Amino acid sequence: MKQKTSYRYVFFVFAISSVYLVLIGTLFWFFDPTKFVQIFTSDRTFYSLKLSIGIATVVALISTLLAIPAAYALSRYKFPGKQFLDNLLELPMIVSPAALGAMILLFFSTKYGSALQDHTTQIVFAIGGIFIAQLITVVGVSVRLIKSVMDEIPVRYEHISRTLGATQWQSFRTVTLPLAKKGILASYIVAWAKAVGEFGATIMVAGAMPLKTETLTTSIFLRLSSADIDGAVIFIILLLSIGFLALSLFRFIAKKSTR
Amino acid sequence: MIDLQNIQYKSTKGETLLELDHQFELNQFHVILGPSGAGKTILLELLAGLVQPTQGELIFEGTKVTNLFPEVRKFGYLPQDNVLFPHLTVRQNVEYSLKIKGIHNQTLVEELANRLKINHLLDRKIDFLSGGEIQRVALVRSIVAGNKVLLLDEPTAALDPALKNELCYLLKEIRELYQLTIIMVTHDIEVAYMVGDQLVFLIDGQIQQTTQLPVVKFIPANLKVAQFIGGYNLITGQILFTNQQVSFETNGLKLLVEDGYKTIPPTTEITLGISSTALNLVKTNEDLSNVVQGKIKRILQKQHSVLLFFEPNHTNFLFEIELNHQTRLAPPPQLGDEIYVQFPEENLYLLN
Repeated sequence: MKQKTSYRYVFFVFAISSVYLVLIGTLFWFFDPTKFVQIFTSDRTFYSLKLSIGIATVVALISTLLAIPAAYALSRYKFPGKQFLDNLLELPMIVSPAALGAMILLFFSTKYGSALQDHTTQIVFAIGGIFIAQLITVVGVSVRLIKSVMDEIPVRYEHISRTLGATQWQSFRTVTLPLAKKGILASYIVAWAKAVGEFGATIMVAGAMPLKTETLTTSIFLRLSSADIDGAVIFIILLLSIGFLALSLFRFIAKKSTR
Repeated sequence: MIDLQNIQYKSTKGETLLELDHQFELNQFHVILGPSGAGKTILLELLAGLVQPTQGELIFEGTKVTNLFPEVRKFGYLPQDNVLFPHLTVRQNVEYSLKIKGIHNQTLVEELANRLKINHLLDRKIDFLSGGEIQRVALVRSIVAGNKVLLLDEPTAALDPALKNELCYLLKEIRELYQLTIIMVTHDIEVAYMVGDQLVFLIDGQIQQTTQLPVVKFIPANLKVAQFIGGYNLITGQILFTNQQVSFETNGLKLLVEDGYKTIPPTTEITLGISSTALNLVKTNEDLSNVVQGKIKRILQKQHSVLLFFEPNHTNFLFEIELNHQTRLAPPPQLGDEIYVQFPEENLYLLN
């Protein structure tokens, strides 16, 4: 039954949304179309865009691949320390990204962190740092999202497939994974959008060096710091567009998966 | 034979949910009857290998299978809901086990699909299948997988009466045709009688009674079974021995019971059970034993019968008497009528 609309409640939706609308509108106040093409086609912008999108794509992929088995284990099994580990995975959501970034930085300043860098690749103030900072920030979210997808899939289906001759792996591959496919894809998009928009942890670990570790978000920070308002506005609009595109894609997939 | 030896299953909180020792003969239709929470579904999951018993052994055709994985054990399992894989078509569901093993056997699929009348559904998505069609597809899928033991959890629960009868007939037919052993859980006694070769009453995690069908006269083994079946008048009283006769007495009501109950110690608190259909309305108390006079306190009309609530004089309890429309007395009894009711000795059961 359709409820009669109560405008007293609807007012709050408009009131809260109007704050965001005003903020978006302000951007266009400062937006200079003549500088748009010049800034947008510069090498520095292209580098930041390529770096942000490229790393976010890889980070979201690795994060999703790591999250699938972890989420499955949390959803299906009881094991010692489960509650503690489940809470620990919330860390990126309850701790500020800057604090998380500082924690990563502190780890790499220990002898173990230094040894790890010596034997692998440079992390601190390098592209590797962007990757590590984003992965650590995003993987917890991926686990949380994919776990909720797994929780929605009745374990009965796996039981039936086992009685039809499927091994545990075959059951996971042929039943659980196809049923979770759309949810996993949606969680990949959220992870990707979160990685593209990540700032706090990234700047702590990788710094903000133009044409080296300058992502789209650090670019806004750098341009505002040097009073380059036009440049900052263009980057904000770019990030907004990416965000809305990701959101639309997520909603589209979520809608299809509920059909 | 499927032999459950001293099986016990405890919950994570340590509560015993199942405790039994039972043998299921192969090539038979076993029906597990019991109320909700009796442990019926756990028993099926245990047989399928989806849960492990806390103690005891499960032996199948002489081989210990307690610790075998479900895919090795090969007991087909059809749960109450979420029966078919929603991301697959009917054909893909049916051929699931073949695809897993990399086998192609169209002949078997087509033959079974024809026999169970699902051939016209094979290329459909499962979204628009009716409850009966879902059950038939799941049965075909399980037989295609080569399962010789089928574990069915309330397959008729969501079906209307006509479909229920049709599925019962089909289940009996395929059991005989493919020499299957079916263990079906239900709380519907009518369904159990329609399909079963053996009834197993599972109440409070324990087997209370097993009955081979057909049975001329069903006698509940104990109070729990009588309460589960329903339709029994149950009253508590004591056993008395007078003049070489055994009688049951409670609050002004004295009824003779069969001599077989002599073994029960006198003055033992015990429950008397009599089916509501076993009470007879008689015209007078002359020349008959166990005739009680009383009044009709309530009347309920049912679809095929009428239910009288009879209160014996000088007592304060009501007995339900169910009279079939075809056999009931004419003119029909009215509310407040003074009537005579006979409690036949052979239908009086003393239950612990």
